Formats: sequence, C-alpha cells, structure tokens
Amino acid sequence: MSQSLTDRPLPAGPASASRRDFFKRVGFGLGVATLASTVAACDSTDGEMTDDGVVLDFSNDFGVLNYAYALEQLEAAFYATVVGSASFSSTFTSDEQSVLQDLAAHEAIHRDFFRAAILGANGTPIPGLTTNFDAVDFGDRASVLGTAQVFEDLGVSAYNGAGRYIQNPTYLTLAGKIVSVEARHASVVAGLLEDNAIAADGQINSSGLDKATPPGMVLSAASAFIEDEIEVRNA
Amino acid sequence: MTQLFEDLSGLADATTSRRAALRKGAGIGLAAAAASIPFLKPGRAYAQSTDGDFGILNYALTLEYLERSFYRQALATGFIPGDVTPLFQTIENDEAQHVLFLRSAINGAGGTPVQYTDDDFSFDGFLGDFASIATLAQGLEDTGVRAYKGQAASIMNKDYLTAALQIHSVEARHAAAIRRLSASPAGQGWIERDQPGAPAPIAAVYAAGMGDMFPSEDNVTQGGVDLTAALSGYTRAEITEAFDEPLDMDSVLGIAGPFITGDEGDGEED
Repeated sequence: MSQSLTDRPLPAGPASASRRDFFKRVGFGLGVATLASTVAACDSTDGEMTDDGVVLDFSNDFGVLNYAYALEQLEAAFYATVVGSASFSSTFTSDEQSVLQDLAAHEAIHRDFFRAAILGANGTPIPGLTTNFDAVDFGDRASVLGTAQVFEDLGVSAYNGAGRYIQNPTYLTLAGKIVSVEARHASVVAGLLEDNAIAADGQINSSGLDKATPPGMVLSAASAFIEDEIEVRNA
Repeated sequence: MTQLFEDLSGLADATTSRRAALRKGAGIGLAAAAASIPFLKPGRAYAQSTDGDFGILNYALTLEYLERSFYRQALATGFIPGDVTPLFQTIENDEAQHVLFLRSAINGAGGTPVQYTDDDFSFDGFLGDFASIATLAQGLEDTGVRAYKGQAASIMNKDYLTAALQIHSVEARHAAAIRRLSASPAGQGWIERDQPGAPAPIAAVYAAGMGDMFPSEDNVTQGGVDLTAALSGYTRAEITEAFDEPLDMDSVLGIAGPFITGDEGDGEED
C-alpha cells in the first residue's frame, strides 16, 4: 500500500546553509498542522509496506527515521517482556530491576516519539513489527542481560552507521540525543555483566571508536528477533 | 557554518581576557572564559579549512587532551580505589586513543592539529579525594557527550561525522560508567532532568546553553512538541532521561576553559 501524498525527495547532498535555515523555519512537525503541509510539499516516500514486507529507503529521511523506529520497536518490545515476566522480581536484584524498568521506559519513549515524529512531519510510520524472543530465557539473568547487551550495542552501532544518511540537521541532532542514551544503556548493561566493563569485547576498537554498522548488517542481525521482512534501499 | 565562524573569530582575539579569567582559579562554571580558548588561532587549524570541519575536529581534540590529562593526573593521585581502577584505566586509554585518532585525522586531511601536553591542564580542587575525582569525571564526560552532539549537524564531511559519532557514543559509555559509581538507585547511568542534585561544581554541565537549540538536560520538547503532553504513560523524569541534549561551543568552553592553564603548541606531544 502506498501512503505517499507526493513523491518529491528531499534535496540530496550535504546540508547547505539555505537548507538549514529552511528547516529551522519549518521545524520538526509533531502534529503542527501548518508544518505538516509544508513538509509534505517537500517530501513523502518513507517506510512502506509491500506484499513482501517493509522497505526502508535511505535516500529519504523518513526511511532513516523508520529504521530507527523499527529498532526502537524491537528494544521496547524486549524490555516490556523482561519487566512483564512473572519471574522478573526473582531473577534480578532491586537495583537491576530499577535499571531494567528505566530501559523499558526509555525505549518505549523512543518508539512512541519516532512514530509521533514521523506522523507529525506527514510521513508514514511503518506498522508495528512482530517480534520473536523465543531464544531468550526471561527467567535467566545471563540470558536477559546478554540479549540486552546485544540489542544496546546493536542500537549504538546502528545510529552511528545511519548518521551519515540523515539529510535534515534537526533529525541528525535528534538521533544524537537518542544514541548517547543507548550508549549509556549499553555501558550500564555491560557493567552489570562484568565489573568495570563499558562494552562487550570488540565493540570499541583500538582507536577508541564505537562501531558504526551499515543498516543492512544491523537488520540482518536483528532479523533473528523480527518476523517481518525488512529491506533497506540506497544505503 | 556562519555561527561557527563567529565563534572562531571570537576566540581568536580573546587571549587577554582568557588570562584574566584563568587567574580566578580552576573550577567549572560558565565563566567569562567562555570564548577565550586559543586552540583555534588564525593561521593554524581552521584557516586551512574551507568548510570548518578542521575547526570542529580541533575543538574535539582539545577536549580529548583535557580528558586524557585529567585521567592521568587522577590515576597518579593514588586516590582511586583498586576495585574501580580498571575502569579509570580503560577510560584513560580511550581518551588517549581519541587524541591520537583526531591528530591523525587532521594531519591526514592536511590540517594542523592543536597540541597540548598533560601539564597544560590544571584540576586543582578536584584531585584531593576520590569523591572529587569522580564528580569531575562525571562532569567532564557529560560535557563531552553534549559537546560532540552539539557539533554533529555542523560537520560537513560524512566520514568525519561518522567518526565523531563513534567517539560520541564512547564518551556516553564513559559517562554512564562513571555515573554508576555514585548513582542512586545504584546502577543508573542516565541524566534525570537537569540533575538537581548535582554537586555544585558540576551543576552548570546540565544547564541550558546559548540559544533555543541548546536547552538544559531538563528539556522535554523534542522536535517542537512537548512530549509530556504528546506521549502518555511516562513520567517527566523518564522523558528527560531518554534524550541527552547538545551544548554549543561557547558554553562547553565556559565549562572546560578554566582547566586549560597552559599554552597550546609550546610543548612536545606526550
């Protein structure tokens, strides 16, 4: 199904001063009616559903935003299952429960934010994804925290890898506001798994840089936990 | 890039006021030293760049030198407990690698990296016990996260942007790990509101910067909409924790500047 009203992409190439000024004026919509019509005139295609699944077109900022929305859906669903498990309070210390409840809230906020942001800018959010956590033992501390570490490190590397595709500087800064929180999560989870650790082995390279992973590789890694087919184009 | 060049021109001729500000002593504060750091002298880094990226990279490099020096001086005090010494060593190593990486990136692109020695930074008042060390460590890491975030949208070259993001998230990992040392409840590595309980010396780290683009860490308006109204089911604290805020260069230098007590470019790399 096609939800696009128009089919004109955002201007390509590096951000120019005039474009930045434009976005400064336009802002970043979230349901502001006048903005919605303005943005719609400039942009449209985004994550769309086909018979085969979800397509994320990275030549368009909505494709990148929907990519982030997909990953936040995955994380939010995972932590909702963690904190909703009957064995939650018996599996984790009170401090760990506090951390995991915070992570559940933060990821759900990120998920809801991206959906609202895409709608507010007159884009079309991808549908709710179907997740599958059969591989996780929610009554086992190591299984839950190990999975959390995978998701958080994957999220950090995904945002780091996607930043270069974001054309609108406002969206880029917003992604930055979220990725550092994902990195805080990743650090805390690493520290719960091993004293003094801030990352899984190999996550930070010898130059002190976190990973930046291309979207296709991220989605390949995430596909073990997502039933829907997700295809990335132009990245 | 207009704002950046305004920032840079403000830096270039402010050496005198910088020295006056620094005489007041080290400490975090939005002091008059804000626009007085000489790391971007005319004829050095940014003058060779047509797009301003070298200026941003040298700004980042200066902050990495500062952090590296801080962790080296902190480790040398002997006040860091043995059980968390490996964490401080890990962070010191990361910051040292960031210095080398940024120097290499700037050199490789034909720019001139700034050069500081560990002795060019003074942390008097923050090295007398472990609590003070941990407090400043948290303040510097959270400042670093805000500083990188504040420049992301100004970096033109996509490879530099990616590298900056890769450093930015490592700084956030550091920030969370340091924060966990004294967090309550234990283990929380995120910034709740603008951290009203922050120790006085680092309270300014969480405050608003200059202009509408740089609100305090208590900000709940993202993309122009108040999320406390637009989303339901979350507390204000949770919403503020879920987003870290960027900070502008002048405000960052207001925080970091008082610790820079030596001159750039007058020593050998160490």
